[in-house]
Amino acid sequence: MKHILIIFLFMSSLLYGADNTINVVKNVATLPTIAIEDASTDFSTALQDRFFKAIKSDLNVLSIFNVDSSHYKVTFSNDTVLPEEKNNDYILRYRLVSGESKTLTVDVKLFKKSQLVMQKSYKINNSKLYIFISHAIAYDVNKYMGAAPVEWMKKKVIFSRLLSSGQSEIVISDYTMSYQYVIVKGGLNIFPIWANQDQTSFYFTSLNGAKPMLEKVNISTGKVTKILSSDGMIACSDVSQDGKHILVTMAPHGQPDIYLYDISSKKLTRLTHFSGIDVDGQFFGNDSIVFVSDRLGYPTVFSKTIGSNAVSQLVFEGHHNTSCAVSGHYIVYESRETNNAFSVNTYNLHLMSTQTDYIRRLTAVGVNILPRFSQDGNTILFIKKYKGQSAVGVIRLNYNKDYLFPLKHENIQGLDW
Amino acid sequence: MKKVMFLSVIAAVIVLTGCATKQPVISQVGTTKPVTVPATNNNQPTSSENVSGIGASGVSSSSQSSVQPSNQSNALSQMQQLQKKLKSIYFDFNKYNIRSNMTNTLQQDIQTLKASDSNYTVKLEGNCDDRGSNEYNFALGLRRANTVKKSLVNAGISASHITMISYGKTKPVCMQQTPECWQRNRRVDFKLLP
Repeated sequence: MKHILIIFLFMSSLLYGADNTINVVKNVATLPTIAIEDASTDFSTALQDRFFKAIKSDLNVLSIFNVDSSHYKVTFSNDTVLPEEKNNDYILRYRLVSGESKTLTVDVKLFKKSQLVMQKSYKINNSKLYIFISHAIAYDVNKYMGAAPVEWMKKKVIFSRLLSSGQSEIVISDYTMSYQYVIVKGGLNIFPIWANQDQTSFYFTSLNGAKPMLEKVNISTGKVTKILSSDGMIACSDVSQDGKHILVTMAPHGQPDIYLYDISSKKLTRLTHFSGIDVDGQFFGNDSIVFVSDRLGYPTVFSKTIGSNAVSQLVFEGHHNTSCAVSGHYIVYESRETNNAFSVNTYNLHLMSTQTDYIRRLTAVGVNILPRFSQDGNTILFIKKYKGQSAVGVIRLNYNKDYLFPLKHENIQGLDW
Repeated sequence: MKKVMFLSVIAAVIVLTGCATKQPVISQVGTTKPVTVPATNNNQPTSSENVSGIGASGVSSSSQSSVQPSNQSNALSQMQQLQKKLKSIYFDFNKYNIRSNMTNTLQQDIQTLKASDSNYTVKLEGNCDDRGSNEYNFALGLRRANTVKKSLVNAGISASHITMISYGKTKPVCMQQTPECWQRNRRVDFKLLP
């Protein structure tokens, strides 16, 4: 009887663990502790401090450790562990080594209870790119620990930011937006979105001509291809997994609707025909889309099967749900709880599943916008604005944890991961 | 065309390789040569395959003649004077219908346009406050512009002399998080083109 009960409890926990809309409020298991030892002698103290903060943040975001926040200084070859660190389960020791032409090498050792279990070296051509080494180290530590993959840590983020009225630029960054590279500047260029899984090209909308123009940029070659133009507006909302189709919001006759565009055949198919607003189309399964429409008098999230006229309302809560993202059967959407123009300007993120009735509120305060799933669907990146400050947020759904990385006066208008 | 969009090919696209080796190398890929792309008014796709894509869509190509700069400074000056007389139309939060206290303003704009040189092209620019997603606000701004366009057409102004564009929340006239500032940004502006 006892065995049956144990099996039942185990199976129940598996069922709940498989649903990201379930909010785990208490973890019974205690996380292992890890301390970070800095053995760097090269480079400035400022860079050493920045790298320490970066690796500490990355280890925290993994959500599999309790990270000791102390910045310990040691000798790299030292085989012993500092007395104050003996209680930690793991020690991550590293040193920054400068090479020719600003080259940065980072030597890393991972100890488990004073036992060396991992040793690697990482090299990059420019020390300004140190954040990517930090992400790579965290990725390898996570892999050694056998935790759920964090491929998203190595993915690049592309976003557009408003510099002033009518002036924007498109930027590529790491997931914390610590390292930023401006790839399109001058004029008004918005709605960047990766064109393929390899992140070697992207689409964006240029508003610098007589008509809005959807363009595609190959990062490796620099080739720019004009794809589509439309009166009024045009935006690429989603790219299919294989990169062969895109969902575009455009308004050739002044009416914003969602279109399916076949990249190879250049065939454009109108998917929505509502006289109001239909935007933000997202591929949903093999034959459906999820999109935002104001057909009820306020914007909220709907779905429809491609080729069918019928639409289904997916989100019934909130009165101003203007954006969503899809991963499998999960949908994350931003929602304003009231449609009152003068109420507190608060937007929160909610996670729903089309297979259950549960809705999980992911944020509680501030303006939380632009949610984007990681490729595995277990992590969400978003932008938070609160009390005059903004940050990029990372939500680890399976671990019920979220992390914020402050941004400097960023007015981010569009984001893809 | 003075505006030039500088497109830089990324110099530091980072990929991790060689994870299985003892010394993973984080390398640079991509070219480092910057590319300069001038923005033009010619919005037709340059490659033939893209032209077929546009044609298949039924998306009409724009007439380029309406946006060519005029050489007659007097005419340009008159047009600018006329544009100053046109008042923006303001909207309620998340709405694109003409509210009652904007009716007179819109009628004055219509009378001003009808009394002017009919060869001008009226460009209606839809704008929004910064609440809500970027894409939704672009559609909302376009709907606002379309509402104004319908009023102009109903009043007898030729639809062929009207173009629309939405800037969503990317062309604010103020940036404060106040109801007054939000109101100033929920608008349709009139621009005249020769």
